Amino acid sequence: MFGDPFTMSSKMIEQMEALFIERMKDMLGSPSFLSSLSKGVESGLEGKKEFDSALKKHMESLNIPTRDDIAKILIYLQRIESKVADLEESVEDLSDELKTIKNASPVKAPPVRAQAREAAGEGPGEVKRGRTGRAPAKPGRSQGGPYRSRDRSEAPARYGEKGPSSTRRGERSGSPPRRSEKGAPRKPGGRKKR
Amino acid sequence: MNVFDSVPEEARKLHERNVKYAEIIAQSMKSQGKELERIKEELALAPSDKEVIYSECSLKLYRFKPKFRNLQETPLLIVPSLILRYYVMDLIKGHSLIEHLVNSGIDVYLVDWGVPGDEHGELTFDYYIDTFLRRMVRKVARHAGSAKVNLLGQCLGGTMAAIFTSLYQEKVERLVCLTTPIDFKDAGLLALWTRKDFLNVDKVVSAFGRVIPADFIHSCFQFLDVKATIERYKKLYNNVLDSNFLYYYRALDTWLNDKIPFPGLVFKKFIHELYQENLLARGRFTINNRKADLGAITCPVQIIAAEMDHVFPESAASALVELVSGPVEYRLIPAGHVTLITLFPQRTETYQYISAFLAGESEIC
Repeated sequence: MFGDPFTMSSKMIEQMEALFIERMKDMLGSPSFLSSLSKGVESGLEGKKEFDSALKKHMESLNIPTRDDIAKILIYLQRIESKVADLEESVEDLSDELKTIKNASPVKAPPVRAQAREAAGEGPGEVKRGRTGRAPAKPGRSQGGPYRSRDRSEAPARYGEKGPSSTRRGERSGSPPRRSEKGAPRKPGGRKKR
Repeated sequence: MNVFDSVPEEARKLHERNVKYAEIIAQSMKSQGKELERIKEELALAPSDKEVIYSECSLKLYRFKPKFRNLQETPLLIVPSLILRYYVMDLIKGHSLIEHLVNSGIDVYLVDWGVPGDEHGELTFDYYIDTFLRRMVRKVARHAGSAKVNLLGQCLGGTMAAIFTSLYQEKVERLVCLTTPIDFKDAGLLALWTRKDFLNVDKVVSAFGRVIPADFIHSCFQFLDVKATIERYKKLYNNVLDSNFLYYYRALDTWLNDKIPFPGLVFKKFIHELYQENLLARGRFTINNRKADLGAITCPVQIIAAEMDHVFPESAASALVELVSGPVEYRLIPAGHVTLITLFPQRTETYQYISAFLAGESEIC
């Protein structure tokens, strides 16, 4: 009449489980339940805020740095890190532009100042030298950047300006730009099959 | 004579099963911090070889070690969700989407969002898209020497990848959206729970401050599908003495326990503008005052949705089909939100669709 007690109990458990799931689904989708849950959560959050504020005041009175103080430093560091990353990108962009310019005119890449002079209406071939102006460098040596290009001497040097300061004695000014990270910028576009 | 010798075999097995089950549940409950790291090492999770090629804040950009010399021309950048850790896509050896992609000759990169801390206090959703993601795409392109990248976004990472593509279409060759919510209008229970009447997002952010704790975010997930939660524990009980099953269960359980907090301001915009206002699907979502118009996406897009997704219904993902301007491949896999990439044999289907699409073997490419 009653059958196997194990089968019966497992059936009972299954039915209870199905009922539980059904009730839970109804409850979790019911606006009235969610509304009261939301009120509970909000009052909990208010309590947390009050507690945090009291704790902060207490720590300040003891001259102990609060979490906010530490967070301020961390945020400040994050800002610096972000700025460094931005600068790194700008340097990469400039380096790319320079490479493009050099590739476009293999004979001579006009330095930035020469371009500016040209834009100002001065002749491109006109060379103005300041008191500390240097003699034109041998072609095909410097490649470091716009102010260290081989046409460095063509740009008008300002009074008191020294030569390419970043070129140390014994160091070839034409050394490739330093790579900021592993894997370094390659020429954009046209990646060959590896 | 041992007292237990007289105990029937079945009763002994039952006892053994109960003890093992209790052990696993207890271990799961205390798997946090260092213990979690120990379990991750013990189970050899995230097994694919990789190197960090860039890091900033809590972020790391990984490149997975290629297995071949001849790689696909365009590199792939994987954008995981902000809610859980990335290694669900590289769970264990032989059960890894990343492993499959690397073996398919794809140059795979991945953004690991890391664990956000107080330093994320000022970082907005806009910053994540316009600075972090843009920078990662740039780094990958430069590292691989390619003008464009392919993007694969999983879950919320897919939403971010789609937003990014709408703003920087010229940088993306192909976009893959894996279980990605786009239309939040009818996005299931989560959409209901985050309605303005039930969740005051400003109060939450103001109470927690810079980061929303992981437990606050994750407490709701187990109630999204109560039946599945119960089934999971029943399945564990029935198979707890099967060492193979136990290994997979523990791997997935460890990943589920590896919860991460959510940056406060990102949470605010995400809940307010995506869930509550549904601005993305309505074409009014902005990033740094620039409209993220999904209609601007002209590259080939692959959308992979899960038929039994308990986090977002299929309709939330399929909405993208109508919103983009480019060719779309839509695939519906008979699996859940996570099992789509972890469960055999469903995951094989998912993996093959993705690699074929990225190789340009899809009908739309």
